[in-house]
Amino acid sequence: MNTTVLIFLVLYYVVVLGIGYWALKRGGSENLEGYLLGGRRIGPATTALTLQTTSMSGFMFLGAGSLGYAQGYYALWFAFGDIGGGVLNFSVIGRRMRKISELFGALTAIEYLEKRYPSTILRIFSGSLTIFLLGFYVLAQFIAGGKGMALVTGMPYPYALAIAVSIIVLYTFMGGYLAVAYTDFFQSIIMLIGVLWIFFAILYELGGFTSANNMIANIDPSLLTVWGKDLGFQGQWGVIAGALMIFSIGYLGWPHVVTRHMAMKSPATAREAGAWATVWNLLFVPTPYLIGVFAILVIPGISDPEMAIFEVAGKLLPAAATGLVMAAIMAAIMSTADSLLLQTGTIAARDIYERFFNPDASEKQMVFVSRSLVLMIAVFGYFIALVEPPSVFSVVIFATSVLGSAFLPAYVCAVWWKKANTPGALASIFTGATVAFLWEYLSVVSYTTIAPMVAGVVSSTIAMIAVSLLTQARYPVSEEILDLIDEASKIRPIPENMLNKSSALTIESVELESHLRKKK
Amino acid sequence: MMMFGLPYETFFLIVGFPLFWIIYTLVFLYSSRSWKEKFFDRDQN
Repeated sequence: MNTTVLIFLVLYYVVVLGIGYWALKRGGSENLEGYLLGGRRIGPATTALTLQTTSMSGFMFLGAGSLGYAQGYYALWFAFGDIGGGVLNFSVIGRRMRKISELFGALTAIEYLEKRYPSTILRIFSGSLTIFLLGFYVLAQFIAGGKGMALVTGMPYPYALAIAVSIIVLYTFMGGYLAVAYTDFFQSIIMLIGVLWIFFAILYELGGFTSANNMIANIDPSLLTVWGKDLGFQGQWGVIAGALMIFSIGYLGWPHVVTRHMAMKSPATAREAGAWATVWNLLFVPTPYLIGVFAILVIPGISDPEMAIFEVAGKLLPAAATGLVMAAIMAAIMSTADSLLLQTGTIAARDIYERFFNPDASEKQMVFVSRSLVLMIAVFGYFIALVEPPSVFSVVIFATSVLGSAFLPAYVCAVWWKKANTPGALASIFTGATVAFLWEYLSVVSYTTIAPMVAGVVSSTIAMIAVSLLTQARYPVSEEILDLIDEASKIRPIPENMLNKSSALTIESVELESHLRKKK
Repeated sequence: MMMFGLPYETFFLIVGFPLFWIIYTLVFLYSSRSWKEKFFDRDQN
């Protein structure tokens, strides 16, 4: 194997572990809020880039390139939505979610839902669904990371997988959210440099953008249209809407992504974070798809299009640059895997263990339990990843659709619609998850040409509105929660008296108040 | 009809969508220009 490539990878691993150690020393694990949300003191640039890298995963280097290679400029529909996904998140729910989550005293995205829509069933269902889906997602990232390491180092897969998993676990274990956020920031820079380097190398090789397009036209002009190879997607607006939605409004409903709002330094952080997200996305997001399109000219007829970006890098770049690109690919995988691992561990600790088994656990105990669960999930994931179960990647494909469909209306309505109540949220989460799952599982898209994400979001939104309105008289939103939603909409710091009041807001007290109001 | 070797439709979408998100971001920045000042007291604490 190439020594230069190895040096780059080792350097990269040393830096991420160093960030983990720095986060530990900076108090990243001092208390539960510190471990789960970095003490709610993350600035705009880091917030924006941890949100972006968490939502993107290894897909941007494997799936995006493959899609461009197979379908030409049609692939860019995914990028068109994705470019605005970050700013949409920060502008729609960022400020309000940051403020109301502090008022609720919520530390996880699922706990936040339970405090807004008081219901133990909601927390059990949402927590279990999220752990299940994010668990598969973590597994897929582990497999991708292990394979990437094996490819670069020439090591046998089990050893490569062990190294990749150990590094992710070590820095997540040490510094919690603080370590994850700052390693994501570092990884976003590596990813950007890596992908732009390949892009400029391929443009240089092909004589520029226009020349490359003219060469594609000579092979197959349909690849230059936005309708796919042989115009296969022409008029399929349901599929195109799904491509636009999944990475734009889609991640308004992903628990591991919206947690980023809760960890911001201030509600005002959302403003600059939105700008950072757009700038980074404009540079990064369309590029892997375009590299995939132009790879048709550089490496025609490859057997596995998912390797298009790897192959282009290997063919066009010097060894040192290839090392950087390999580090970028590992960064894309690891920046998602660390966030997923931390979220899965913390939801299991806070939303299941503490909520239902040990409500009196101390802060130190909970940090210990969260860390132990992160470790246990990683070890469990390692052994499953060793056998590479065949269905993992297909589950991941619709995990994102199911999560977005299930939770999007619940998170958006939590801060924007006062009539959104517990039965409405329960119906919305259940309907969205079920419709998106069945739509994908039964391949309904093949005869309706409507993407699972579109069907899931439309049905969960209808369920939220219809059920909330129909049950409004019987299950009104409590006065305490209405006051907090009002406060969250105001552009001002949280008044001290409200912080004290909200700390006394428990699910039981809200349920009791709701019960008394019904009796009246 | 081609521009930069691309059909007009593809070219305008490639330019149009990023432009839309840039404008969206600028409008968001403008409409939230007072946020930092209004949350200032809390940030200092």
